[in-house]
Amino acid sequence: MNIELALQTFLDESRELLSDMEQILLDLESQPGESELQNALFRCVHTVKGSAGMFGLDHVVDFTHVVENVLDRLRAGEIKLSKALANLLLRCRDHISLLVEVPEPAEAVDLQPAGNALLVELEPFQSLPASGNGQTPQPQNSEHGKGDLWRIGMRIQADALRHGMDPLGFIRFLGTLGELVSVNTLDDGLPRLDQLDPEACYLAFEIELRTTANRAAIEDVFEFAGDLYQLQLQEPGSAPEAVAAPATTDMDIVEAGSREGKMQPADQADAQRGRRRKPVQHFRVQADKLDHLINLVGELVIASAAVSLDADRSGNSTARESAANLNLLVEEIRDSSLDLRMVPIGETFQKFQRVVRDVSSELSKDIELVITGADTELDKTVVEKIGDPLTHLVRNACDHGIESPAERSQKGKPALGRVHLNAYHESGAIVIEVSDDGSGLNRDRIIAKAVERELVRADAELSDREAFNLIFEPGFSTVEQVTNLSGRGVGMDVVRRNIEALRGAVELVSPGVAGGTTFRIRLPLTLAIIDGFLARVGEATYVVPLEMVVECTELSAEQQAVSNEQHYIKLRHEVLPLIRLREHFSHGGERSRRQNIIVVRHGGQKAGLIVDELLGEHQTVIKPLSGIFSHLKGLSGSTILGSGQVALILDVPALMHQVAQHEDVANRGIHPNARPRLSASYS
Amino acid sequence: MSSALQFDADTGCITVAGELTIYQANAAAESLRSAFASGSLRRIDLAGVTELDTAGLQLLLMAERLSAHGEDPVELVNHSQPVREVLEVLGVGAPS
Repeated sequence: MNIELALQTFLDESRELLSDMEQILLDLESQPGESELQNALFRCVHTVKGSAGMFGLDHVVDFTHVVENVLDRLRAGEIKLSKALANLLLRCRDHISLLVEVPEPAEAVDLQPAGNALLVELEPFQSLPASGNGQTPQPQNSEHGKGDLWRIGMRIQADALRHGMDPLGFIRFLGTLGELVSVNTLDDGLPRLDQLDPEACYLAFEIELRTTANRAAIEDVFEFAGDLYQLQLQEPGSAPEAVAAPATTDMDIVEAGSREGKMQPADQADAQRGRRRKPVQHFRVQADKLDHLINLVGELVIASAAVSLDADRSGNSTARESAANLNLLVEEIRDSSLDLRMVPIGETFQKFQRVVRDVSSELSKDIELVITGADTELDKTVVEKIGDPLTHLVRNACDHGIESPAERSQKGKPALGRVHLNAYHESGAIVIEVSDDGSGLNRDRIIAKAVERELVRADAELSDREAFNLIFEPGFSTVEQVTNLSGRGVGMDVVRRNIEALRGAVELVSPGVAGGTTFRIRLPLTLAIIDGFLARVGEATYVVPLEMVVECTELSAEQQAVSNEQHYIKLRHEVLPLIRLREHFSHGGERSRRQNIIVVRHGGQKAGLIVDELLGEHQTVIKPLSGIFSHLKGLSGSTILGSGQVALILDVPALMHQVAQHEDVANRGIHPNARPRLSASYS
Repeated sequence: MSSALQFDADTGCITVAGELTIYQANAAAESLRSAFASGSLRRIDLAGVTELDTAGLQLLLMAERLSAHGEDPVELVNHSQPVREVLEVLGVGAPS
């Protein structure tokens, strides 16, 4: 029994349609009167209504019906999409998306008052304006005895009932399009009682429907049933025998998907307009199945590492070759299964059109959202988690970044403010930028505030970068006036925490790419598996994410002697701060005679990690550290090596941050510029 | 989600109580088969049907057909409101 499954599909499709609807509404605002869009808008709502009707979700049908009427008048050109109407329709869309999540009409009572309020607002658009110019309103559905007579032959796959597609639901719903003049139930297909499969469908129907709806509208009723239903639509006015004849004699189930094929050439244009097939075929997979697959691939990676290790040890050359082959395949499987979870970020970006629109009207500013790099892909799990921080940054840009229209015109800027969302890939990471063309940050005000909040000492010497990034400290807000939108408790520190929880980083640049401020978020492409670089310190093995490794080199005896005294080293005319992992993680034991340095880069900064031995690349499946270790700074997770040993994954950004703080404390007030800062580079 | 087809062999009458939908279809078909096999099935009393879908309707149509072939016709009686409603929509001929 698949009715739950069907309902789930309905939910998924409705969500998709409603998100389309939002997009179309926003597009329509910039291209008013575009008839393709208006039609598409109508179809979105119409299909939701149709599918909801199928499941007897009357609460959805009742509400969407009114919205549909308004949209129908819109596409007929009887009303115009004013700003007010667009606002109203957007709110209706939100309401519908609440309604579809409610599985039973009876449970929707809570939503009733909100719905009724919207219906009242829709009222003037649904009926004729008082100053009407003689046009007659055409309520599409309720007028019996009007319209053309359609004959509909309905063939049903045996499985339809098991999929929850009861023909009764469709027929009842057809009745809402107009008047069911007659329904003829064909039961010739019924087998003998002893051969009956009680859950299979043996019936077929012939229906006469009098309606003003067009062919596409009728077909849309069955859109949801897909190939389970085959229709024969008889144009109004043509001879009835044509459809009646095959209907009564031929009870064979027509081959799936032949509905389009049967249409007359004349109908095809209509059909293409009504249902444009997407060029790429998709099918739905449950998210947890995919997660399970990825977990298994993770285990596979670990297991294959163990196999290679054993093969290497055995000295058996054929075994080694097979292991190498296996490794290659595993790598490919890893990449393509991770790829399954990759989605373009554009969809997430598009949601902000609405955010920007709402926020700007709330603030009475004129702001447009520009999106670039929408095709940039990243892991779905990351996409899901990045929405909230991004929302905050976008709102922040609208609220604090973009000046008021008066201020802008004073500065000679165009009245239309601009918020820019951009995404691109950079060395194994995705970078997302939120920029505005506002006035940028006021360095002095930030420092003053930070001093007042006791975040820094008054005499601290801060680079611009350090000063600006103070706004990510907990309890920091530079707005003197707390507005409605941002500055409501959720501060930038939460944004930073959320992003760091994804192993990402956020920084602020001002003046940014568009003149105002740019927030730059750097995120790993995936959370599950990384290419790592292994290094040994004493008995322990550490993993550095390979994408952060710039180079590795052995420390010469001379360098070693110097670096033992200092916290930095000069490497090819570049000064690198050093992080001694042995001391940092308090490993006892002797330093090995030869020491190596791994140069890592993160967010434009470089540092050197001192280790005992370099062990080479390793595919690393990230296992989270359990709660007991979560307070440890500088470690982001663990992994299991082929040998069964546990290795710890270094959290390079946190390590660099720690060192930078350490340096700051050491430097502040004494020799402000005596030592190179983490970010400094003398070349 | 309960439906019970009670067959009383003495009166030859099946009484249906509750829903008659795809959820009950298998069990209902089984009851119908055994009642028919007993040879004494005469009537199906639909007064207690609270919901009827296409799967249920098929069974009823099937039962009526049994009557057409048999010596003594099987009658559908006491159609409840939900049953009437379905029959009206489908034009299968609501009882007078």
